[in-house]
Amino acid sequence: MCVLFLKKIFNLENKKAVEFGFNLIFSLIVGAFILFLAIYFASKFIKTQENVFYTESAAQIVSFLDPFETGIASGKSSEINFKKETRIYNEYCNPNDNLPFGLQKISFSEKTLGEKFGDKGEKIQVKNKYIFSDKIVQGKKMNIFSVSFSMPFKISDLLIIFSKDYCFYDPPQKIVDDVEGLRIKNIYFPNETEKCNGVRVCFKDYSNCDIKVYEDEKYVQKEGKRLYYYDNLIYGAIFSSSDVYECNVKRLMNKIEALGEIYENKIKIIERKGCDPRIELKLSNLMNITRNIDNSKALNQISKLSDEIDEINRAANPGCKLFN
Amino acid sequence: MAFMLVAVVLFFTLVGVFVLSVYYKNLHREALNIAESKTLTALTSLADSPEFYCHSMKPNCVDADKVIGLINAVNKTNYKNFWDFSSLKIIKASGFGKSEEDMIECNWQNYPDCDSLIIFSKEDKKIKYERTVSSFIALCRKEYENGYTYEKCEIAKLIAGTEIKENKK
Repeated sequence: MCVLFLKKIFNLENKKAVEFGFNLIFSLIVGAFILFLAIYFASKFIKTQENVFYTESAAQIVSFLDPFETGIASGKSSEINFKKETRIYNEYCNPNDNLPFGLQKISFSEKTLGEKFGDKGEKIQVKNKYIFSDKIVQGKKMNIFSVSFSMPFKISDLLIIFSKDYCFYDPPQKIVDDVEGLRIKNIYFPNETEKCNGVRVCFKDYSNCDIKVYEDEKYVQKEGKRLYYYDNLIYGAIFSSSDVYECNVKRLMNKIEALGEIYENKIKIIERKGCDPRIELKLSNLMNITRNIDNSKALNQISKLSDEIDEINRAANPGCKLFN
Repeated sequence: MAFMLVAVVLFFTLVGVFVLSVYYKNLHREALNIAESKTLTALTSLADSPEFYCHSMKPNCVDADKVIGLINAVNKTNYKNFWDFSSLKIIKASGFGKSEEDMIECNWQNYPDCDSLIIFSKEDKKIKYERTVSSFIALCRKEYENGYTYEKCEIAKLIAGTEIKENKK
């Protein structure tokens, strides 16, 4: 049957010549071209759809972070469950972009067929949040928690995203209370003899540890670097990569300067209302120091000045306190 | 047959273009919906942000003294890029029911005897069209009376806008 058909279309009865009619050649060429175009555009369309979905997902994750503003609470925590193995990329952080607040960009991708991760979606800008995480957070389940950061007034909330298990050895009671109070999952407090399959974070005995926390000197040692911290920044130092941490510390210091100016103006307002806050000079010093910091090491110096300002504010008449 | 083939290709190309145009129009609408819901969720937690929250740490309370400090700050222009709103303002209770032209905008000189605290407007961001959402807040400020300094609060509306990129109001 097939042979007969071929014989007919190629005119094989006549052994001297093979006839290719114009219609046949045209159909073959155009058909191949159409097929090629169809496959090309279908694959392009699938790629675009994937990109749109990943970009939308990244935007939704950023929106999901909005309610993590702690307000009067000490912190908030939650977890995100994905249907597939997912990656959140927190690779771009620049304190000098979008001055004075700096900028982070996050993108999203998930596992496609063949156990490979799809190309990242478009990066979504994050200007008013401080996300501390590894550069790539991967998993089907991710934990998010927020804690406030004050120096001496509230600067912002720190958003921490992680997917691995963490084992804290000999942590101070404050950290145990914070983690248990916020019901943060995937952080364990094992004994020294207990096995730990996660990232080992040590606060006292530093042998066989992935991350070492030196509380007296106020720094966290990881990736061969010292990340200095103050207040709740300890969580940022533990859970994020060193580059992301240092960048966000600079962004936070820039924010101190911006907020400091608001408080300087507030001082002028409350002076009209019978108050005499004696913070202005120290506040201006704080703003000058934060303007020029290179890395988190400067936090030690800033923290002293911040504590002095806090002391003066606490001693003020209750109706005349500048911040709480 | 050849011309029939060309006609079929052309037909399906046109159908494809039509489907894509419908799809991208929906995508545009979807982007606007996401932006609007983002504005709404951001607005509900905005009062608790460090630039606004009250000294007394009450929930959903904005410190008017800080807001006027922000309006008067050199850094004010930078704040328009800090939040993803097309505009951000607070209307005090005295401004409820008044048209925009009749409202007295707060500044360093007339504060607190004014109606609206404009942190940034859509004109500041060179935006033509926007859709706004609002949330009621407690607006508090320090007051001095009979030798005492206390916090005086009143109801106000926090209003934020989302840019509409198409040429429709």
